[in-house]
Amino acid sequence: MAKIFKDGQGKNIINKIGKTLGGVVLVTAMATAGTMMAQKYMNTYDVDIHENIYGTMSLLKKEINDDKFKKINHENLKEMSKEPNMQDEVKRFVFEDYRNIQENIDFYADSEDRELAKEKFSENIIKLKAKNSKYLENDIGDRNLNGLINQFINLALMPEYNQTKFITTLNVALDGMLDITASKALCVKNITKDGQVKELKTEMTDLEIKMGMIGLSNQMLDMYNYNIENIERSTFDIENILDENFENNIEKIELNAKNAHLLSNEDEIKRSSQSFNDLIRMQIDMTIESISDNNEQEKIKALDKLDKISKRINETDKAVDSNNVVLNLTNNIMDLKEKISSQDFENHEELMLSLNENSIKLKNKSESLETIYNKSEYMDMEKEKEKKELKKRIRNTSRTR
Amino acid sequence: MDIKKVINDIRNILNKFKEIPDRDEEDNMYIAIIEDKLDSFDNTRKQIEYLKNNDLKKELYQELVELKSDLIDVQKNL
Repeated sequence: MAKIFKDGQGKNIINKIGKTLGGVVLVTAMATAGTMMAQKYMNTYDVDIHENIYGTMSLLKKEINDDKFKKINHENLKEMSKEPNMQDEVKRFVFEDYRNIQENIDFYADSEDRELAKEKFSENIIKLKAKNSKYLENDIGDRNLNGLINQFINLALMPEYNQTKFITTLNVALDGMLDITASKALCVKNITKDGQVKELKTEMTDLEIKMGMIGLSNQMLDMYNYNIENIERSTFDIENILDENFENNIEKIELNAKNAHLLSNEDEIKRSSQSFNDLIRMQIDMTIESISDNNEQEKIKALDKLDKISKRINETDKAVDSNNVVLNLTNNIMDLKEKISSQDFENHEELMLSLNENSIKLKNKSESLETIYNKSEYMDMEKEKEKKELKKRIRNTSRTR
Repeated sequence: MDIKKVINDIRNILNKFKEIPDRDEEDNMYIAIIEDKLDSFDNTRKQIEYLKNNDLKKELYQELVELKSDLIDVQKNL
């Protein structure tokens, strides 16, 4: 019988793309934490967990020796992973472990009880982390975790994936991620229970800390923002979902920003500020849509929400003030005020007054930011340029008020 | 550097493989695995685009071009 792939040809191609996929996806998962780290992971370990995750089909098609496989348990997994003649069986064992947890996560993601889903996701992911830390090398555990998260993101990105389920699971993952980064950091560093870094131990490199504390959770936030933008709003009530999570998400971004400040990581500080900005912007955009609605009740609700958003921006931790975020948000609020001033809101004077008051506070905040900015001790050419731009915008904003 | 296009090209080659009547089980398995991998590559592409990481983009592109070239070789030898 004629074969398309000559002897060995197909196998070579599969091996080649198996490696590529593992490598590229792993690097992607860690892009926020730096590719050096990914290189380290890819080159150091014999047990290629990614082959297990991403090369599922080829792994499952591999002939596994049942007798050998049955010998492996969680207690001796670490030891067995060092046996050269047990590699396929160990990979399969770790993969099964993974699959169980993934199925568990999927099961709860389908659940209508979102609180339960969040709780279970955290439980499962922490369980996985604990297992890996205990039975495998710590770094392999991290690698497993990254793989799982990436697999999860891949799943969520699939177009056929139910969109409501997607948002739920993404929220759940976001919560789980922050739990896991906090618990991971608790194991290795002296940090407070709410996730803030108190003291950094020297044996962790900056890159590792970044990856554990900030990189992954920020990546999740990015994916979260990115996907929300790409989802048809009409298909489900995204507004309510965002409202429900608004305070939580803001708090998480603030926590990330605080940690980034502690680590003096400029890039992460900017990213946190950007996430904060995006989140608020999304809320404001949707509020604008509601205000354009002819329904009087909706208008009142939107104004009320706008008022709450302004208040929250004023209360926001200084940590996210590192860029021109507040200024951008002030502009957003101004845009919105302009938009609604053309409509009939005379009956809602109280709300309008509150909104004005908040706008003034925002203006002061952006001016005090300018002062802080002027005091900055170092400014390279780019920062100098940014400063000029910022000043120009503040002047323009003040004039339009 | 159009990753999407290379992925589509590979899919087209695979579709042509599927039209061959006397393919055996092993061929079907390889085709299925490559298709599965292509889906994952496509997701990776989306992430890379979002991250705007040109190095990763180049890496993925290069790998896909090699895969396409391997499959063209297979096609030539049919």
